[in-house]
Amino acid sequence: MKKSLVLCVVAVLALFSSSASFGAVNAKKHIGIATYSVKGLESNIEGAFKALADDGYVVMEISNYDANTGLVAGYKPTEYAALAKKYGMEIISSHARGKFDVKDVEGTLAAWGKVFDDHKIMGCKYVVFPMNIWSGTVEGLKAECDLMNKIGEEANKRGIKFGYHNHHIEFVNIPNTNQLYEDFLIANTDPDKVFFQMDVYWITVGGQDPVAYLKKYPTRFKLLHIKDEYVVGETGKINYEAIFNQFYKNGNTDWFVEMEAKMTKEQREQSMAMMNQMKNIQAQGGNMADFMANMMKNRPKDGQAPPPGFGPQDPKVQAEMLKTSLEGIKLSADFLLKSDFVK
Amino acid sequence: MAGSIAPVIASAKTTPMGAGKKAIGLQIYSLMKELTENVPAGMKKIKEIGYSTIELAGYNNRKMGDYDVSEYRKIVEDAGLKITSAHVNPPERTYTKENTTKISDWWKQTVEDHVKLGVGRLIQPGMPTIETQDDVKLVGEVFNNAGEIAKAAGIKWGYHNHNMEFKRIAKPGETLPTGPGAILRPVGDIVYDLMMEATDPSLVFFEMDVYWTVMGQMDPLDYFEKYPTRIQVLHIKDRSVLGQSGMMNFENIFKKAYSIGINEFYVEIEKIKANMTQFEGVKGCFDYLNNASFVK
Repeated sequence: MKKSLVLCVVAVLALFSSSASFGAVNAKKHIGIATYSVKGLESNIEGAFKALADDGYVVMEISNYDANTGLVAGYKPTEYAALAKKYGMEIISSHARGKFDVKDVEGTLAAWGKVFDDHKIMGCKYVVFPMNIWSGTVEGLKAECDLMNKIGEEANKRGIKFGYHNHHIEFVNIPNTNQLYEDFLIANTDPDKVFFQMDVYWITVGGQDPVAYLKKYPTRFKLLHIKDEYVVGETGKINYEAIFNQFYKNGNTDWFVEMEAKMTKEQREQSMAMMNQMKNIQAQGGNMADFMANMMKNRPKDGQAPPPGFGPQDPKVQAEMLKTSLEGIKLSADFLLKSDFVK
Repeated sequence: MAGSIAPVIASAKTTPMGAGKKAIGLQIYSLMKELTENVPAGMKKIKEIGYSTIELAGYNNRKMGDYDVSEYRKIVEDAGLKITSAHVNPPERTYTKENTTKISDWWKQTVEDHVKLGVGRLIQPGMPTIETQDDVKLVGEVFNNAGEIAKAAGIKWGYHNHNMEFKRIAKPGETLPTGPGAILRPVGDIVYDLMMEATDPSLVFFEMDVYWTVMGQMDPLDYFEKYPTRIQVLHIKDRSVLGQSGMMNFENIFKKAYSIGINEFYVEIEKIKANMTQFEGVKGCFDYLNNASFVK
């Protein structure tokens, strides 16, 4: 009863605020960018920030915090946040990782404690664990979920929300069960300590429906990654309208465009083959160490180009990558700004 | 033609049933159980919902369910619908040099029956066993043969995909890497692409199921671009009722399809939600497309 009353009030307020801003030409939509999308970012950070602000992005999710040094692209967290602010943007979220080892809870919590301290300085509301290869057993997973809860407690102490971001690997069954990893993770983490960031592209690649998940767990998905194969809204996949409608209906506001580097068909095939291999590892309950060892063994040989975004850091190459990715990022912003379902 | 842009204005004046409704086709697999309970009443319901053409499913032992094919056609036409296409699967899933004659004979009688049903298209929806490049070659031959038989009777022969067609097999002379991390090269060939290349464009077309293509991790738009003349018909399908999931971008699909000349499509709905009849699901799909500005 009480809950539905609150929902009603929220709905009325939402109606009021949207009608109040109707027609206001300068009213900015709340659109976010995951700066993972900005390839070659560090070759010209201020230029990139200016371009993002010009595109209409107002909030950012960074992914270049270095847990070893406590720096972001070589800047102190406060300086980096100030840089974003200079261009009218706010860093509200970060993809970051600390140690994650169920056999060393103390060390894990200390590592994440430092991560959260630095993000508190930056003014981040959210810190998101971007990817993990999970244990392939129910007992192992329970221990990992417990550790997630503890990390979330550390975040809460500093006023930060801790979340997990999916790829498609979470949408396979845990070996010898009929349960998807994603469902297990949601069921076995504490809603007050761990939230989920839905990557709408990867969940679809995983064969599951973003809208069905937003309906099934209306309080657990607090953030979205709005993503497509490249520029948002250009393929025959993803019903963004249905996704945004349900996400807003659930009471959320924060989401970020995320894009991979612009790839050739061959690069895209290889990238997907690699991700599918990870999915297979997860489905078989395998481990990341084997994967990494074999990947090194199978890495591109001389004369084969590395995947875009990796390889030589030639300043000219960096500048070219930056230009290309900013063009794509602008097209994604244009699509979302002109979509009337985006607030 | 299902979902064709054939003008509805003239018929709108003469048949009130079709007034203001777009030409949309239905794959009747969408309501098999509820339809077979009472075929004549069911066909009338399909017409009332607004569909104008149907694509059959359920042909078996030279009959459509309990009905002789000519009887079935009459029931459909009495309801004001037209049979434009049909899904049928040959009796063998794994093709061998030994069973191709049996399959060919089966197609001959099946084509005969479908001439009586009045279809323009005959479509195989089940994927034959394909593990190797040699399998693809044989499948191509069997498909071309079926296409020839159909063509001689004035019917177009096609193939309908699910998601398994988007798996990869090794290229000739290569071995696909296995094991964790054995990932970067080579990635192999996509079976669907190989099927395109192994079949004769004058004998075999493709009906792309856009939902199963997305489930196969692929973008239907890429395929429209790559095979603009081979993909001639679409299955418009979603997780359940069209447009309600977050998985499909039908606006982009229709716009691109029209731009390369695809004007024929059939609605299919498989997973009916709890508390919904199959007919309600089928109606929900029609209403979605009929109201969508991007559907002609």
